[in-house]
Amino acid sequence: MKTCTKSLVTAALAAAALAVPPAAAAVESEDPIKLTIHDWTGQYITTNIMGAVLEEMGYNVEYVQADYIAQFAGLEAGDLHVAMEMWETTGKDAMEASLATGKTVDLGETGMVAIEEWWYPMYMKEKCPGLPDWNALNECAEAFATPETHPKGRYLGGPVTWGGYDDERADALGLDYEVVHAGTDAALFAELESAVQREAPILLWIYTPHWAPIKYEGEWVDFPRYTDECYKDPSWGMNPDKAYDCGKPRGWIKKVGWKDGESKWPKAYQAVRNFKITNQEMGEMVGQVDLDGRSVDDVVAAWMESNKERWMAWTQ
Amino acid sequence: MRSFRPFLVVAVLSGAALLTTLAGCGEEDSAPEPQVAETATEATAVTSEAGGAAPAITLEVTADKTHAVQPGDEIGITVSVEGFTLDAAGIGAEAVPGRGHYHVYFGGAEGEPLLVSADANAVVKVSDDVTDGTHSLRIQLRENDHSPLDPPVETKVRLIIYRL
Repeated sequence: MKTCTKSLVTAALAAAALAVPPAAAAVESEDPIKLTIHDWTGQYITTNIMGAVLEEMGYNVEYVQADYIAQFAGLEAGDLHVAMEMWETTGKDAMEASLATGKTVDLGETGMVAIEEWWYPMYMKEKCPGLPDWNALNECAEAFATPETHPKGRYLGGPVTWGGYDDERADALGLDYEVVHAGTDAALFAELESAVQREAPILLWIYTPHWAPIKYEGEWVDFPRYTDECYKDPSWGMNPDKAYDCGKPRGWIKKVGWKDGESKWPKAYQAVRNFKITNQEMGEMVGQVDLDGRSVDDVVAAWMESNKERWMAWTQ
Repeated sequence: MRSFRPFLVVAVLSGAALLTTLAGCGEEDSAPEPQVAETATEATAVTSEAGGAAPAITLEVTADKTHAVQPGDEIGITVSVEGFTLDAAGIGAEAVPGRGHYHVYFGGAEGEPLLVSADANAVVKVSDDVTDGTHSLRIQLRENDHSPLDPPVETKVRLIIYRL
């Protein structure tokens, strides 16, 4: 696990801090609160906003690179303290398992609501008019094929560390597709941009909040709706022998933390609980970083400057 | 497998508005209030038949982006025009240059409009059978007799809609 400490306070934010008294004069412990960092832009932003607020409160903050799913071992052990984005879409079962240990605590919803599923740009519907019904995927496998996968279709999934069970989904639903995983978040969306510009075939993992479904018209594949039983009980669904014969869950993006941290830094944990942001704010900020080339620090500092009343209220 | 689940309208932006918003963000306070709509504009202007100001239309959409919207729930729209007079009393009457109303459509298809109105503020309902994805809400100026202006004057916003 690689540790990196980031400077979050830009000149603008520092100036703002001089003008706005710290929300709390004293902190319960000067030990650093370790916030986990993963590998997608939005998570950098939410985590850095929270870190900036905690620093404004007087806490020491450390950012620790951690695997999205594997981080729970660190959170349960107290080596890591707060994760700002656990998505129901991909992390629901891992989070529930961790909470069941009694060593982590649900710190509430972020306010963002997520979907991440197989998605195609609208021009592909002309080549596969049966979409978005998932049953049309096999009829159109060649339309989604590349020279490397032909005659099978190609589905570009997210980085393996994101989970999501797409390999299992393709297998359980008998989809004639090769599941290829993008190496990074940036690579995933670079492929989308390239394909759309050429109107080339593409079927890939798209999530929101994100700029991609704002920028491009498209649809998510309509898989059988997720239920808990679908993931846990192979007999559920159209394939009686395999689980995951359904789409991903949809819904909340939550914060989760090391349970004992709540007694060590109670005001900080309350601020984390109070953190709320909207899908639209996040989509715009991710776009500012990914499309406009602004730094995460710059975007976060601008948000902090423009939303003082909101984040100050989190600290009360 | 399709069922009437709650819809979620998670973002409202036209491509043009996205670029505008992103380009302008950070320099000034553009942060929206939670659950308050973003607006989107993509005005198209033409020379008016009367030789005056060119007709143009601007559409703003108000939608709750973080809470579920039930099928059939309404999305507020605000319409403003330039070089054209919205005239509710004239809907269905003989065409009068520079006067008329608007039609609202979902997606690219003409078909039956979601709404025919001359009100500056109105509501449209998201239909039950819309697919999960990014769709356009399109608004077009019409003559009193429902014929489109020549050339057409329209604008659109994008909605990201999905069922929870």
